[in-house]
Amino acid sequence: MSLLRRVEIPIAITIIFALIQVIPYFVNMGPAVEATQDKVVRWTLIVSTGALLVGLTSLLLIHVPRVTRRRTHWEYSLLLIAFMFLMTIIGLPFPELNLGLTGYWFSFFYNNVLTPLSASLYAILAFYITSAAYRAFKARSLEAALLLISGTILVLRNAPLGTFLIPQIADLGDWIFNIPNMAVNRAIMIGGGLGAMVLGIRVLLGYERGYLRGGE
Amino acid sequence: MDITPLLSQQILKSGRVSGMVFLLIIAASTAYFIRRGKAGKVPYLRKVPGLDAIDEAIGRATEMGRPVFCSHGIASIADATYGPQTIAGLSVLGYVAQLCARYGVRLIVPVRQLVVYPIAREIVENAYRMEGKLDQFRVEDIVYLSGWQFGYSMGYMSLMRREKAGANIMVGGYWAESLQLAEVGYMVGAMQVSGTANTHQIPFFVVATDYTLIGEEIYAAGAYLSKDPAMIGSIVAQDIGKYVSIALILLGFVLLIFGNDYIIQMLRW
Repeated sequence: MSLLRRVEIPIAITIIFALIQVIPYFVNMGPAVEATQDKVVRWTLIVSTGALLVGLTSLLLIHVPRVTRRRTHWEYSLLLIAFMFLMTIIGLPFPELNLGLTGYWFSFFYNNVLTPLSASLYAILAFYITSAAYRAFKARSLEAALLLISGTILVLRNAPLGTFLIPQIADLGDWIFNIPNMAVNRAIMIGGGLGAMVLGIRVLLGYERGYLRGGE
Repeated sequence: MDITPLLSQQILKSGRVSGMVFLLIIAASTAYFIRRGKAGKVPYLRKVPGLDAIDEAIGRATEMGRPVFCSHGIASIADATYGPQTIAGLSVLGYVAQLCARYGVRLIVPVRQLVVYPIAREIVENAYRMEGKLDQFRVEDIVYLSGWQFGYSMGYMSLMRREKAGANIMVGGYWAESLQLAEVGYMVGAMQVSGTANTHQIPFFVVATDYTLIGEEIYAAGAYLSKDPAMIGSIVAQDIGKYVSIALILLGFVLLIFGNDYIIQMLRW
């Protein structure tokens, strides 16, 4: 097998860089090691920035053929490509031309396109919550019935009309939220934390290889 | 055990000693149970319906002639807190890609994090190579959508609608987009398997998808799906950690009733 395709190399890199982060977290290793630790974190940023090119290539690979071959909804692809280059150009650091991240044009598009779009997409969640709740709130089993009852109490607790009509619902809702809900949340968090820890150790020992070319 | 000399000599960092001890216990248990697993002493692993359902979901999509969607969340792999969820999601992706290649069903992988993109691509490409179907690998199906959370979500939803997803497998770190994706998956009639350790998103996945992996189950996915005895052995270490946690909680609770906060003080070392 070619040296570059050998799985041991990325495993060794993972182990070395993970230990550079883990050991100084617990043990005082001196300024030299901590400086290396900071440097490694900065490398991550540089690698992330370099990966922008990968994203650009991926987007062009998908959307350019769609435009050139006039596939369904090709107009949206054209819009995406146009805006991608437009935002890149107006984000260039030339303040004398009103460009750059603090320039007029970047702020204009950010405040008038991206921010309203973000808010709208987040708001769509309300409709999805309604449709999901409609399906979920059916007492088909004991667990579903418990979900239905506690969900209804919490909906009433959060709605002004609920607490107005039944004032005791506020205390009951708070109790459900702060006691059983919190207990389950903490149990899942402890389990999740342990799971992440064991996964990390498996990665360090070189057994978890799923993230490396599917493990082979 | 008196650790004051170590702290006074500034060898160990104050406030992190108990965490280090706990990590060492888990690490030692993991190494021990991996050895046991390799020696053939494989522990019993309960069935995880969510992971078993992945085969069913892909089989169903194959029969319907529709593509399989598989995503690994929106967290960066470099993130110390949420990165492990992405690693777990990528382990599932490797398994899904292998099955898709075997059955000849199209696999679409929506990606949010640029750093994860080459890894996801490599995993899928290698799965097709291992199945001897590299010619069927389509690089344009590993789709970088957007680094912006809702841009990613919108792109993912549109893709599922346009391509009529037959299965949607989402394992990793998800935030507000979780319900949007799950609901659209439901609307297009996809069989859905989801999993996250983000506690505030688990209820959304539970109500909107067919199977949900809760918290720690996603971290066990790689071991469970690989069927490797050593990997399965390592899952026992999770249980050891749970026993230690439960013991500390109970002991701390009882001692606190008698006015002793030794466990709390110990955890602050």
